[in-house]
Amino acid sequence: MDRLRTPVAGQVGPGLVARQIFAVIVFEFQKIARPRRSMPVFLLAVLPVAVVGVVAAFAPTGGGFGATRGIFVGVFYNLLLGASVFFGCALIFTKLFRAEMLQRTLHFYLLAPIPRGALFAGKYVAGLLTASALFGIATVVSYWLLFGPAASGTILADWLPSLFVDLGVTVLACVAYGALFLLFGLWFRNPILPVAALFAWEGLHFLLPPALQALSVRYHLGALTSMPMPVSEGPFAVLAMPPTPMVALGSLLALTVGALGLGVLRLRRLEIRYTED
Amino acid sequence: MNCELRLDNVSKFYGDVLGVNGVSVAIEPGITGLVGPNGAGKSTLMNLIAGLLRPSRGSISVFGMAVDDRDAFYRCIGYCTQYDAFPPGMTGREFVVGLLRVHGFDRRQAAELAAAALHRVGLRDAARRRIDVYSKGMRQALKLAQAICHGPRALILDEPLNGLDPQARAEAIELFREFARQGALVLISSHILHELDAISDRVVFLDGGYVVAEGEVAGIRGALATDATAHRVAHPIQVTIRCGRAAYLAARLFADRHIVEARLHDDGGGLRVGTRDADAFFLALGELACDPGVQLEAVAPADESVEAVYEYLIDGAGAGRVA
Repeated sequence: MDRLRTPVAGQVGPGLVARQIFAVIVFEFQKIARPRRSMPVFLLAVLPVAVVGVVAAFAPTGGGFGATRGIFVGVFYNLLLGASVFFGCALIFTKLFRAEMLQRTLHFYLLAPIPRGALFAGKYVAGLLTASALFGIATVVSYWLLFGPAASGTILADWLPSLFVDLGVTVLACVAYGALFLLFGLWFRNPILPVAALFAWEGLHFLLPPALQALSVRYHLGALTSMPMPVSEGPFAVLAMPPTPMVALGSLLALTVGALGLGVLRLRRLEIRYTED
Repeated sequence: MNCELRLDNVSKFYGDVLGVNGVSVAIEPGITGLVGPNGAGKSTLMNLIAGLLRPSRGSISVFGMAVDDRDAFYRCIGYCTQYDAFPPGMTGREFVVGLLRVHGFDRRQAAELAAAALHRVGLRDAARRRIDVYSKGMRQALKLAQAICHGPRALILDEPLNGLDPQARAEAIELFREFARQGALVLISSHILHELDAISDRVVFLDGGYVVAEGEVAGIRGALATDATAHRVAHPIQVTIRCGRAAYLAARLFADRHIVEARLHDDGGGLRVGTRDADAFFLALGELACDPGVQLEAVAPADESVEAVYEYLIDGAGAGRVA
């Protein structure tokens, strides 16, 4: 009589886990790439590009790179980081787990011999690559629309470093917001409420005392952009010293690590009880 | 006894709501049926075994492994859940290959194993079609493919025959038997009791979160003949006899003190008798068979089936317990 033989999945240890994480990333890309799921995020990425395009078409010429960059930073900070990246990351990352719970498909992953921490990492990296690619391209195209047509050797040398800085800030925003929203998707049955609360917190952080402003992602991102943010944001704004780039970077990474750590703990204890979701 | 699946005093509570309570069973390789009414705790028990739920109390091991050892545990277990859901937008092949790659198989291995599994469940031709357009039976078959694709030694199947047409159902049953012949442990829950009866070596009856009986159907049925509890009356074993002179046989049988009831068939060509002691009854019947006036044609148990035991244990009598 034939006996059952369980196929062996190649090498074991870190090599196997790395391959499993890669498989999760590929699997997630297949899901994220569906038009119905990706279209809203794509539109959010296009929105600031369209606004920059309109601004570029009607902006007065001759102001030099500094003046044009001032326009860009306003759009970049308030629209791209403040709205597009925020809501784009919310759409991408909250769905990575929550959508699978609602669709009742998460158990397929949990029945695979992959450590739950590795599953979490695979999903996070898939979301991060997607968000970073979309909003990174939006950042690059926005730059090109504003500065590209008038690019000369000097201007190119001037705005190319700024582009890399702002591109880094976009990716960093995806890193931090992504970690938070992935946690929200695991922790809350309806992540819209904490996302709305965070949006309000982020949008109104300039009204808060300086100590509380430091608890905002945008506060730290603003300290890292290629051009300093406007100090006053209205008559009720509370002035706070911006953090140094190192403090801002460290704070955002600490927030990310903390959110990811909590997410992994949550996933390790997760039970499949779809009827409650 | 070579018990490969052990549940030791396993309980699961959802807050104040009982899922299962104090379940202790040891299941050998072969096909075991899990039977119970809706809400009995079958799916909870299967989810506990598969590690999708954590027990509030007790412990579970499959082939000596606990779920904490995820890598070894999930390489030897395949679970076909009750959930009829798949990631949208994928083809059947993409789905199975993707899962196999998450298991850690390389691209070539995953493609080969997926093709073999899809072929075994009859989805070879539909493998490259989107799951969204699959029929209910094809989706059920795809769940089976997902459960068997990595060559598990324990198959946990929650209502695996739901939605399958008769041919697909026969093929699925043959698949379960093949796994069992190869030494696998197959645990099946199903509402289709007569099919479960035909394929199960043993049955676990669950009601209200408690195991009310477990073992071979004949053994459980025999225990029910004499084992009355506060919640359940004893059910004499029913035997159908076809013979030439049914009334004469009935009269002779009633001389035997083990017979508690007898009912003649409407056509007069047989009778159904109830006895509390099957061994003594068949001994007596054997002696009567020598009587030329009886003319025995056929003797068969009338209620030694999963359906009958289910009715006695759960439908008819409430939650008593057969040791």
